[in-house]
Amino acid sequence: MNSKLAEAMADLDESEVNKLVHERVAAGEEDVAIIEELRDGLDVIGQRYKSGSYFLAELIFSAEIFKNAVSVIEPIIGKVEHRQVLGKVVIGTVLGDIHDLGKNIAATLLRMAGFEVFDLGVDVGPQAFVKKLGETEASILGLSGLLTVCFESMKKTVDAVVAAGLRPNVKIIIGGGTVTERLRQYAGADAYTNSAFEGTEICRQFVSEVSTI
Amino acid sequence: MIPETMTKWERIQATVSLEKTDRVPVLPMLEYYALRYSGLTLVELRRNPHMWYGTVRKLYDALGGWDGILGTAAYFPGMLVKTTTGSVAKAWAVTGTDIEDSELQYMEHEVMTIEDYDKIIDRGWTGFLKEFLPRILGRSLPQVNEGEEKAINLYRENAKLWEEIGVPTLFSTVVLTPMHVLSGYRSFLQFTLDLFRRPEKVLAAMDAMLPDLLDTAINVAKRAGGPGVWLVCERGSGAFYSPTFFERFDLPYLKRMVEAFVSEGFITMVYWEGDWTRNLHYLTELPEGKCIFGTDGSTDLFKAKEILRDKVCLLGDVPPDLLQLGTPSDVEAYVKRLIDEVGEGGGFILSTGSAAPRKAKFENIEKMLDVGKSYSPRFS
Repeated sequence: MNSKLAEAMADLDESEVNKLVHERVAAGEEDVAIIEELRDGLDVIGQRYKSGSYFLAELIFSAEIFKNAVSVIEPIIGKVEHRQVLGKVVIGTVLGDIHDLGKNIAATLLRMAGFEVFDLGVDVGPQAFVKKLGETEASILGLSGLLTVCFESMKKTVDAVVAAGLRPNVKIIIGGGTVTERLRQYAGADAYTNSAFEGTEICRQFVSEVSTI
Repeated sequence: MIPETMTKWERIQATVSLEKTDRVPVLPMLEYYALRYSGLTLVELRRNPHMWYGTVRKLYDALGGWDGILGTAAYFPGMLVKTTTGSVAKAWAVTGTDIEDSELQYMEHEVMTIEDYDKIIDRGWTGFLKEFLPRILGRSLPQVNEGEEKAINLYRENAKLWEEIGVPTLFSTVVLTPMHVLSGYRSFLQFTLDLFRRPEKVLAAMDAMLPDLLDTAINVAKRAGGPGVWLVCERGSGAFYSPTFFERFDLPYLKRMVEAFVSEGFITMVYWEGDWTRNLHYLTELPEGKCIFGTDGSTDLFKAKEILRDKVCLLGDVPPDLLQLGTPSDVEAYVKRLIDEVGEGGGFILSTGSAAPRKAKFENIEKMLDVGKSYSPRFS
């Protein structure tokens, strides 16, 4: 990294990131360059997470720093476009479950990675997921759940996607504390995860599989 | 069948003390499953908590019994509010959401503000609750105390009924470390940001909270008269936070709490929900032969045995997906593996990984208990 901003971002130095972004926006610098350097910092953060020196808490803090930095830039230049929209993801916590922590972290990490995310919230029924998939033509469905009530709800949601004829075009990933390979098989999903970061990596793999066809 | 030479309580005590026993004690969490077995809902039991004993007893009799009652959140409603997150109450109060017939659920909402840290520092936890509880629950501290008294009386009644048939009830009190209380009230996101942005403030609040949390838990436990205190942690794990954070914000308080409960003569269970495998080695610092480490199935219990073998009794962890989606032979294989590996040399209580799901298969629950009560490598 040869950028002070990228380094401050990577080191989670919130006050330094804020200071540098304000200075550079005030100096009329190219917004694209500022965003790219912030993203360089995020890439380093991802590497540190994978190597085990950063944890989920650091990812959460980095998302907050990034969001605040972008909010300084956006009023000047308009909505920041992703350098590349990797894909569209519909996400929600399934019927009967109102836990949203894991889902929210996953949605944040997916957005930071460049996905367009449609978050349906909690206690979402199968048909609501199907409807959103149809409207958005999203290629990935993420189902979140923590309580064991999510076992049946996840299966019913996958069944609804199949019944709607959307399954061939949609990859389905399930996530949450009680989610296992056994549940993935039962529900008929393509992947499962207990980690929001891993879930993002799996979604990247999903879209790269499609793009190599 | 294994010839039983100990009472249920003797078996549990010896296991916690890491001594030899006639067989592994079996203490599943079957309260929610018992509801379904009787065709009842949580809504009915919340309105009529005196039905709990009969509901669980019916299942107990159908399954040939087990060795002790652990309880679940369903058993401790009054005690949750002051000594734990109160997140259930928070969810209901803040969102007006009460999903009918649902187990304990948390909604992440910021009900405690940054300004509240100074109030805690100035007034202590009980002093803070006087203002905070009416704000988030619409109930005063005296009203909450009244609910707590009812819950304690219910605990005592139930424990006496179980004792009449020789079944001990282990835990009367549920408590969280300050980190988990604050995380629940600030919301996980905001609390995590607090740890980065204002760590000294958080630590000062935790220091101010701890005496009242301890006093309340010990006071409730003594009034209830049970042998144990259950310390639940779910938000500080190595899956979320670095060792540095854990060592700074959770471990010192966890240790002080455990030591306080142990010095009062209570069996203390440290129950870590989620994946705490990275944190297991810290538990070697707990008082030897006085504590239980329990897991919901997300932490590697076999790894825990390697690390904690001669230090801490282990409890767990037949997982919910196995009980609901697996077969009896899957259950048998897993329970035997637990007994062979985690039970080797003693110091292991067979349990479900957190509460067994209501849609678990009866034959799987039955197989878990049958194998747990009859399988021992010493006798095979």
